[in-house]
Amino acid sequence: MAISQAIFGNDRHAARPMSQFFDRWTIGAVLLSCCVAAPIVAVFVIATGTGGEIWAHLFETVLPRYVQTTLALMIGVGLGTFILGTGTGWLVAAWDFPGRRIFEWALLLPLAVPGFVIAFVYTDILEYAGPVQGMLRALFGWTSPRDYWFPEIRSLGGAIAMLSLVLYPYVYLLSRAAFLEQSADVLEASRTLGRGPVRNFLTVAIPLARPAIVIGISLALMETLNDFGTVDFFAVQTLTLGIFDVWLNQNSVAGAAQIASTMLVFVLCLILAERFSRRQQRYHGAGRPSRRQIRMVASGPFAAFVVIVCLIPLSLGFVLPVAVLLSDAVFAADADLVDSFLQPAANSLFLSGAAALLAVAVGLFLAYAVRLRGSRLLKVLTRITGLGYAVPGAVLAVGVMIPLAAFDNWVDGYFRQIAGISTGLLLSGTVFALIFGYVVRFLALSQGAIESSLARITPSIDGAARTLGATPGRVLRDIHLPLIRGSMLSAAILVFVDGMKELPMTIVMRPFNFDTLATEVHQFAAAEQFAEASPAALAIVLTGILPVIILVRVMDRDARKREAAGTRITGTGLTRTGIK
Amino acid sequence: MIGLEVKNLSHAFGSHKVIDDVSLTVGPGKIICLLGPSGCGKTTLLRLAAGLERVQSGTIKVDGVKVADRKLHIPPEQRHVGLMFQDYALFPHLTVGENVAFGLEGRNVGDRKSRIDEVLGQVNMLDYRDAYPHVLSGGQQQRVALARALAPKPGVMLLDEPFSGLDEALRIQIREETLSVLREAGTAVLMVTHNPEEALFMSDRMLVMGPGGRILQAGAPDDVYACPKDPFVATFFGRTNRLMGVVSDGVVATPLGKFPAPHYSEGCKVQVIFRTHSVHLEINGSNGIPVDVVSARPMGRDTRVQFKVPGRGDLPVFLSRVRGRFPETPSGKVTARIVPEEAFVFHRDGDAS
Repeated sequence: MAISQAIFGNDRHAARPMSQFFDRWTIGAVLLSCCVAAPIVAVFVIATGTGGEIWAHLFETVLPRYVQTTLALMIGVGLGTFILGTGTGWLVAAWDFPGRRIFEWALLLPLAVPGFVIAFVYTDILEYAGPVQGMLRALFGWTSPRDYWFPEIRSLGGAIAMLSLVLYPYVYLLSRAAFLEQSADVLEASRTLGRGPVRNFLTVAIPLARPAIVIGISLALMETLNDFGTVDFFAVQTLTLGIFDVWLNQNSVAGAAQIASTMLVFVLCLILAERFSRRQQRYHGAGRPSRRQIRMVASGPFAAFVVIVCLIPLSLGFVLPVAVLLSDAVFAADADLVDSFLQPAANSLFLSGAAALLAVAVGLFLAYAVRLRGSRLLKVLTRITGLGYAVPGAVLAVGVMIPLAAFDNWVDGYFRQIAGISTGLLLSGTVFALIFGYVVRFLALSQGAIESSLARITPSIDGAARTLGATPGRVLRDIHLPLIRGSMLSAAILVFVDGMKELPMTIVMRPFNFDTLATEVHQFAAAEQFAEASPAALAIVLTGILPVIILVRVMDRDARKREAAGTRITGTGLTRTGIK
Repeated sequence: MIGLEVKNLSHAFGSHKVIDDVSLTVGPGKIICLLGPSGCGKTTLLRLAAGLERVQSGTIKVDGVKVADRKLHIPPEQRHVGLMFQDYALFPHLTVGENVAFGLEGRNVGDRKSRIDEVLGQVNMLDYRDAYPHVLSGGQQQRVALARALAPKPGVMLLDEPFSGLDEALRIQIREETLSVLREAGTAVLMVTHNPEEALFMSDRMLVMGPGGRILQAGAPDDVYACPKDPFVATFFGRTNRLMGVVSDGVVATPLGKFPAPHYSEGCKVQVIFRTHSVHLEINGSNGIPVDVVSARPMGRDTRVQFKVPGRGDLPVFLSRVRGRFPETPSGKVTARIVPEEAFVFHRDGDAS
């Protein structure tokens, strides 16, 4: 502050023409966005800056397999989340059946379970020594694996099933909202033209909801690309796994960066699909506010069928895993376990808490700077900083680690030269580097939540405050902060919970011997010590319920608005795991 | 000078010009209305004066001090200019009293409290000091917004469509109250509106802004209304009719009569614009042009009569507003007469409809 005042003068003298472009809000925002965007840019620079021979080598060896597997995984998860999410979304939106009000929010619960947790839980249940196969053997008198066929959970198919079960809520939430917004007139017109409810769903409701469904699937697939725990545990050779393999096992930084940039192509496609659909959504929803549809009433056997259909993803994606974790945790509880749980838990709390605070502070600064200045430069920059959410953790790890290492080496070399002392690694492998990585990745969550909540405050409020003599800082403190407090808390919670779940970046970037709950689960699971993994996993799942509660509150608010206004609410604004 | 001084102000959004070389001054105790259609740069002009928008060209002075030109931009919080927003922009998390207190920061507690009571008293909202904005009616919110803007005693007060959010009956009452509060405050007032009646009622001086952001006419409200200098101004105060004609011997002859056109050259193509209530219709009258009534719809106090000139299918149907009742099928011949001094003659290239 003092420096910027010295250089650029305070507001009273901010009257010079250039101050329009170089006031402290703009400069701060530009610096912050550059820091956040640096890792993403770094991946491209490293990938393109190194020799072509590594590319050629990668192409001949591992890359085609990684790409193929990743594509297969994405297609599988895309289909899985589409069927589960759209199906349940439509049932809940269009039908009335026993328990609908509970299913409305309960179907979101699987979102609380990270892929790497559900993966080891099902392995525990379904592997040869597990209870399911044991029961089958007892029932049919089989004695060895050769006596029967049982699906292998540790496979591509298994990974698809696991990820679909925990990621379908994205599609559910968005498609449900889209179905609710659909005009009764259109659907009834189709009914009078001779379509039954099911054909109506397939030929009218789904096409109308297509943009929302595509957004939901894009978000689910971004999460799929980010997943490291599941594919690692199941040894599914995706690009994410490839980055780790080439980087850590083959020691090729450039190779890892090149795989990472390949992955960014996938990410880019998803971002484009999402953005395009968001634009489409405006047209599909266009028209006058329309009458809401009346829910069809399901009764008799059909009602039972609907309930069962909704129960399947809920129980497989949440109830069963949590039950297993609970019983494991209770059985496994002893003093050793408590010790091995507490330190990682404290680490997780500290990391995620610090990341949440920072992400909210940075997000607030950026969002307010854009509101204040509205310059194109800032808008573009903050769009770029918002991309972190789509970039998989493994890719970001490459983008954060390599520049930091270079910086450390440069500082070390410089001080050796002028003072003959070695500074060693200043930032690499420290908690600060890790927190920075978290902020880069999760900034979009806080920035998005704060931006949209600021957008709900009419600009004339700012104008009124300014003409009454308040500086921009005072407007933020006395007007905006009190008004958006709730959203800032939500934003902090979203970042916090994603931090608790974060695995790929943490694994690579954490300081030596520094464990979080997620890495703890990952290590125990990799060693097949499922019971030991369960307390940490349970803790992650329980914190994961927090954002679900926030989502439910947003859903309620939308429903109230819909009822109050009798109109459509455009865009529930779900981002990757959050509210926009 | 004390008050607001705007000189040669121009502003564009991209290639869309919204303010075109506007100059105006507002002295203390004066109420100036800027009247114009929606979409012209009225609100932008207020935002420029308040400092919420940067000046592209021209200068703005407040109380004799330059606050903005192409290079200079004093931020709004240092201009001491009050602005009342169309949507009132009350701070929803602050009570009425706290809203008013917002602009009084830096004064001691006693001063602040007495000023709050004073302005809230002026707008009759003292009883609501501890209420939150959302429990207030539209009219009450408007009063609080006015009190809040006036509380710091700004040298210049800007009002952006101050009555547009109110329903018809309330509007008239609030308008009178606002006028007396502003007169009492004695500050320089620039008010923006698209409602001609409001501008006529409120202003000491009126400026009419055209769609391109140019000031088409400025003057006392009565003069502007009675002697429009531009077809746009003539048509802005309500429904009008238009006739075409050619000037001959300082007179333009039209199917509805002859009108003096002393300042136009011989053979000049002109248009004649007259308001609907400037047409007098008579049944079995002696003077005027015979016309056929097309329809007559009662509108309460007035009757809206459409008529045409017989045998002139090329002319449009004309509209008049007649005091009292008028029969749809009159018992005798109907004649129309236009009050000559209420018919305005303009060059035909002046665009108006």
